[in-house]
Order: sequence, then C-alpha cells, then structure tokens
Amino acid sequence: MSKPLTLESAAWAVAALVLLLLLPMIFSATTVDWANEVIYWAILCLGVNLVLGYMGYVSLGHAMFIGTGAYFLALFVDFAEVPLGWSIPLVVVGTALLGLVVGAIVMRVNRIQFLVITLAIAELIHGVFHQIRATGGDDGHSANDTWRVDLTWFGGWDTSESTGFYYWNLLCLLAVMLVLWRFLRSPFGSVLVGIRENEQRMTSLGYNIAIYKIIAFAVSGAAAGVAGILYAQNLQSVNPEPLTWQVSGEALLMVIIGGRKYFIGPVLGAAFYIVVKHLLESITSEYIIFLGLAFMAIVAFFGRGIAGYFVDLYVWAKRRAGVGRPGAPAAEAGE
Amino acid sequence: MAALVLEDLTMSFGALEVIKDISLDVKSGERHAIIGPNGAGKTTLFNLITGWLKPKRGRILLDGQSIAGMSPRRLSYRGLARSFQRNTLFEGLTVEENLRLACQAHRRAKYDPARDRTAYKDILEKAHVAAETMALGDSLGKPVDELAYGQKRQLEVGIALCADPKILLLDEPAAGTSPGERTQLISLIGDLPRNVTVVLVEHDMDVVFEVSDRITVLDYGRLLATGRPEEIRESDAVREAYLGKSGA
Repeated sequence: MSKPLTLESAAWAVAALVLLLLLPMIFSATTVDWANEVIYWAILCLGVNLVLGYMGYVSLGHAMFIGTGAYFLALFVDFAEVPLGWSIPLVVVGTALLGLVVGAIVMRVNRIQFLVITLAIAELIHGVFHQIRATGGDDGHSANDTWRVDLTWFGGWDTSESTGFYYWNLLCLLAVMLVLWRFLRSPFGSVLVGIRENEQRMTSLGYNIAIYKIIAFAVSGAAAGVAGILYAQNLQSVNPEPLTWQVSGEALLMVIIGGRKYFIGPVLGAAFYIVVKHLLESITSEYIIFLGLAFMAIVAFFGRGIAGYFVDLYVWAKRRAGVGRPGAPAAEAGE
Repeated sequence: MAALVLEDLTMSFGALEVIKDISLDVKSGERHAIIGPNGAGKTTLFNLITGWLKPKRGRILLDGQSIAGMSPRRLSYRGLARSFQRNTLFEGLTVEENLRLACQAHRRAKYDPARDRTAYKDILEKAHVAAETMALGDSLGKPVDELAYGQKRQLEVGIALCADPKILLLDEPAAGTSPGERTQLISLIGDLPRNVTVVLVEHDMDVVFEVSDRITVLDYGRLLATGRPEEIRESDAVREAYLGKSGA
C-alpha cells in the first residue's frame, strides 16, 4: 500500500532539491550541460517506466514520443507559427493523442507482441520524418528564432544560456514528477499495478483493462513528449535521431539501471548513464565497451537497480544505528 | 427461488464434448458443490458460467435472465464472482492492496487519476472487513509472496468476496492445502453470509460433505446425480462412478 509521506522522506526530498538548485554554483559549466541532457532523458525514462515498471509492459517504441515531441515543437512554432507559449501545451496534447492511438493498437496484444509492435510503429514514424523534406529530412531543421521560453520578466531569468535553461529544465522535471507521482498513487495508478500483477484477475473482478492500458500509454507518451520539447530546446534544432530505436533501448537501460520498481529509479538511471557515458567518453572513444560492462555489473550485483541499492543501504544504516525496523519492506513501486 | 439455472448446457472442444446437456438449478443462498472425477468437466462448467468460455448450446440464467456469452467483466457487475483453482493473486502486492483492488473494482473511484488511493477510506475499510472474514486481519501488510499456502487460498476466496457477489463460485478452494489449512477453509466458507449463494467445485470430500446443502455429480461431462449429501452418499450410480473406489 502507499505509505504516507513521512517527515524524514520530506527532508530527503528537500535536501535533494537544494542540491539540484545549487548545482550550477557548485559544478562547472560542463556539468550544467550534462545536467540539461540528463533531465530530458530522465523525463523520457519516467514515461517509459510508467509502462515498464508499473504496468509491466516493455515498450521498445518510446523514441516515437520524444522524437515527435521535438518535431511537433518545430512544426507548431516554425511552420504553423503558433506562439511558443501555446505550442508547448499543444505538443503535450499531441504526444498524448499519439499515445492514445498507439495504445488502442497495442491494448489487446501480449507482452512480446507489445514490444515488437511498439518498435515497429516507432520505426515507421522514424521513416516518415526521415523522408519529410520540409523539416530537412535526415539533416533536420534548426529553429528559425528561438524555442526557449522567454522568462526574463521573472527576475531576469535568462533561458538562452545554460544555467538559466537548466532551471527551466529542472522546473519541467519537477512538474512531470509531481503529476506522475500523483497519478501513480491514485486508484487509477493502482489498477496499472494490478494489470502488471495479474490481468486475468483484474478482468474477472470487473476492470476494463484495455481502457487503462490506452490511457496509461497516453500519459506515458505525453511525459516523453515533454522530454522531446526539452530536447529540441536544448539543441535549438530537430533531427530524426531521437526517433531511432536506439533511443528507446537506451531509455530501457537507464530505467533498469536506476531501478524500475522505484518511482525515482528512472531519474537516477538517466543521471548515472549520462554522467558515466561522458566521463568514459573523455577517456576513451571506445566508451561503449565500458558502459556495457558497467551495465552488466549493475544488473549482476544490484538487481533492483541504483534505487534498490540505496534503499538497502538505508535500511542497513538504520539497522546499524539501532533504530531498524526488522523486515521492513522497501518502498517499492505499487506498494 | 433459483439463483442460477443451467438449461441443456453443452460445450465441446473440437470433437470432444466436455459438457453434455447439463440442466441444473441452484437455489438462492444455497451451498452447492459440484464433484466428479478428473476430467468430468467441472472447471469447464465454471468457465462457462463465469463467461471465460462460450457454450455451444444451452442457456444460463442468473436471476431469470440469460447470461450465456457475456464477458467475465459484465458478469462481475451482475453479481457473479469467482476464485480460481490455481492462485490468481497480485503476488507482488500486500494482502491489503490485493483486497483494496478487489473492493475498488465496481466503484467509480477506480478511474480517479489524481487523489491518493488511501483517500477512499470506505474502500480501504471494506478491504479490512474482507480480510477479517477470511482470517487475514493480521497479515494486511504482508506481501502475498510471503504468505503461507493456506493463507493464499484464503486470500483467493477473499478477493472474490470483495465484489459483494450474489453468487460466489469457488474453484477447488482447498486445492493443495494441508489438513489443518483445509479445516480452516471449511469453517471460513461455512461462515460466509447466507445471502451469498456459493457454488463450489472440490475434490476433497471432507470439504464437500461438510459445507454443502446439495451436491451435483458430474461424470464425463454428464450430470449423474443431484441431491442432498446423504442422498449422494447412498446413490449407487455415484458410488459406482466415483465414490466406490475410494470408499469415501
């Protein structure tokens, strides 16, 4: 069952938030650039994990949402000339609608078919954007003006430079996390976990599981769509790369590394993956080998991901301090 | 009054007729056991009644209305609930969450995407009552995979009970239990409120003769006999087909 937020976990959240707010003052400009990259991956992964960790389905097609999210922004702002302030919510709605359509296609298939069909649809969309001349085909399209939100009216908040953009990213991440947190703790969210655990029983009890799957996929797609907005704003351009299946695969890796049974897992996984990738990149061009080894080590030694490791560490520390709650179950997803 | 009526029900898988022209009345509030050797068609009959299979021929009436061919989901709204022969639980979740999901199933609250699930106190309370009914009140916070086998069987019935069914169909509730666990289950099923009609399939004769008001015997998909436990015990046809060998 969901446990009430304790004073202690609130304190942890505040500490993490303070650290994130101070990040540009503590670390170098490069780190801020990394953080900006981490955030759109983290949001994509939160979307992926709604389907993977909570509903128990592996999607190999979430690239379609981050990719179309980025393209939608370009299309709305530069082609349809919708003001940026309207374009952003429109992109979220657009990716949610895409999620509804795809969800309606995959709602009745089994878990293996689900993986294959989501992959196929994502590849299809990749192919389409690869061919569209208006958005530059394979080369992509650069922003006519800027896609970053003008927040200078708010105490001179300048999103055109890294640090200012970082705070915008952080705001978006927290907003997505808040929405998903509430969603997953709600009765609706609890049904998704029920679907993960036993679809036959859910049907027998009287749940229309198809509707839940479709809506879950739409919410998940909308979250990944937000990641697409930030991706496009970060690069100030779009190209078909975020639509490739490698992006879906990397997001899955991040979620598993971070811990799919935990709400915070995808965020930790994205941070770990991107930071380790950049650190290794600065040492060797064959970084992918070592990234692979690191991934295997995590799966082998920390089966429940980084988040699971932290929970174990926390329980162990508490026990050592003599205030342990023996046998206290970890705060896992859906409990 | 008959709560559940089967009329000339027939079902086949390919050329194999597994249910042959079964007609049966289950009275309201009755405890009705369906017994028979392996392969007699008991579970198939259950799957027909609960909508998981569609009959080839015949009618199923619930409170006088035909329900044959309705989906399991619609039937659950009509007041039909079932448990499964093999544990069909939410293994990774706690006992409380298993029952809460079951209690939420017919409520509009199940579509609420924003409020905390624990805000629906009445649903939670109902789950607690179901836990008490199935003697799981002390295990609310336990994950299902940490329960003893017998407790899992209790939860299996408890989940079905949460929908306030008019008719509760129990598919071998005591399957695989130890003698001690079986005694517990018998008493729990016996204590179920009398406004619930209970139809159960069971192999274990202790359970059957302890709990049932009437017993129906199936053999190779045909209905062999229906009657009170003492009638069934003394029926020659039944003894020959089923009870004779074990001498039960």
